[in-house]
Amino acid sequence: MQFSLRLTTTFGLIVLSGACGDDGDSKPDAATARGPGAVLECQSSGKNAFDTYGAAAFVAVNEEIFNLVGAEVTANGTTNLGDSFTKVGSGIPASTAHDAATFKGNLAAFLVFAYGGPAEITYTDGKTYAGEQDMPTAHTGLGITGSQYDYFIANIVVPALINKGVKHGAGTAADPNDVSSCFAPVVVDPSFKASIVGK
Amino acid sequence: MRTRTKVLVWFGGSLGAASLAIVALHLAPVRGLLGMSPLGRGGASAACPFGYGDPPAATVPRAARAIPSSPRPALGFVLDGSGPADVALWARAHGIPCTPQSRGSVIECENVPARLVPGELAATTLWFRFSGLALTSIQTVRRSADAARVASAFDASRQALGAAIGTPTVTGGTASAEALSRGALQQAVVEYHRPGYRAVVRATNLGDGFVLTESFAAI
Repeated sequence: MQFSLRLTTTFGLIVLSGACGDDGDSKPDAATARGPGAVLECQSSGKNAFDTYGAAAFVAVNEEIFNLVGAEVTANGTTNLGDSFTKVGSGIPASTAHDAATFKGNLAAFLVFAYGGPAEITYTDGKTYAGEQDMPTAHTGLGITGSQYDYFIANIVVPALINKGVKHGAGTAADPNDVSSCFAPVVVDPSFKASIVGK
Repeated sequence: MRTRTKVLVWFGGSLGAASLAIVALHLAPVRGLLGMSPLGRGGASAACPFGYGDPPAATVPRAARAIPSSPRPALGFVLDGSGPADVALWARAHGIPCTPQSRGSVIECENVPARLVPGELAATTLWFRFSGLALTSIQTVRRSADAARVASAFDASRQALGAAIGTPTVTGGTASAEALSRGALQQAVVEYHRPGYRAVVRATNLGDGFVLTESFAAI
């Protein structure tokens, strides 16, 4: 709830600042930038994922991702997921310099932005995070393999979405599938995968 | 005096040579030849007898716990029983390229032939995880562009588990080629939770292909 309120405030400010005039620079700024999922329509609502599920759901999914990673690492170790999570805060490689809380806030901001939400959020820790992130830089030195990426999507991302209530029905009007319609395209995009794997 | 000098020279030379030999024996290439590496001929049982080899991260023994007598299927390996040497022998026998990782606590194998895993779908990657010298889990990633092959391998894995330990604890989604092909991130899952054991099998549409992931873990 705290996240939701703060996000609404931040979003309001973004809208206002965006309405104050164009400085002539054609490059989109943080106020006008839209993530790739902004134009995707969830089958259940006809709106994008952020507008369909809201900030609280994105917080829940983000937290669930970390819960599932923790369980996976406890049960099966780190090798099958790669070092993104286990080297957090070590600074080696440089892409892991942020501590766990910052990493979590960054991932939340990325998810919100990627799926049609604002370009900047204030997370549950009270800090502000930017959603537009340089994926190749964030994964440089981690050497994530294609198999690790596949394992992560199948065993962490999909269960996190389903566990937190994203609709995953048969894909009919009566039983919509939002996992496939408005969440999947971002993470299965070959260019997105290429920005993470093998860096 | 001359004899005493000879003895000292002989003793010093021998000591130096022995020191060099010990250092050389701990160099990675030599260790590989002699089998001190977990993937060497002698497997982990040939580790440095004085305990100065790279201790695998998992040499800390697991907390004492009862090992269940009920079956815990793991692709023919024995959870809490098989060791790195067993995996090394298996890999060598089948010509599978494997590499130790995480200071020896994990062995990663690639391109595991379909005949060695349930269903007719080779494993892109297979991870063996050890605690000390005991196998604690196996994970697989098996990929195909063909939904039917992944669906078939999912069924084979489920049937193999079902034959060994009965009905699944959790099921979700439908593992048919048609259902998986409905859209990206369509997924079917079966989980088996037993005392001291958990197996999870997922078939997932990843947009650019289909993937079967399996996990067989001692818990």
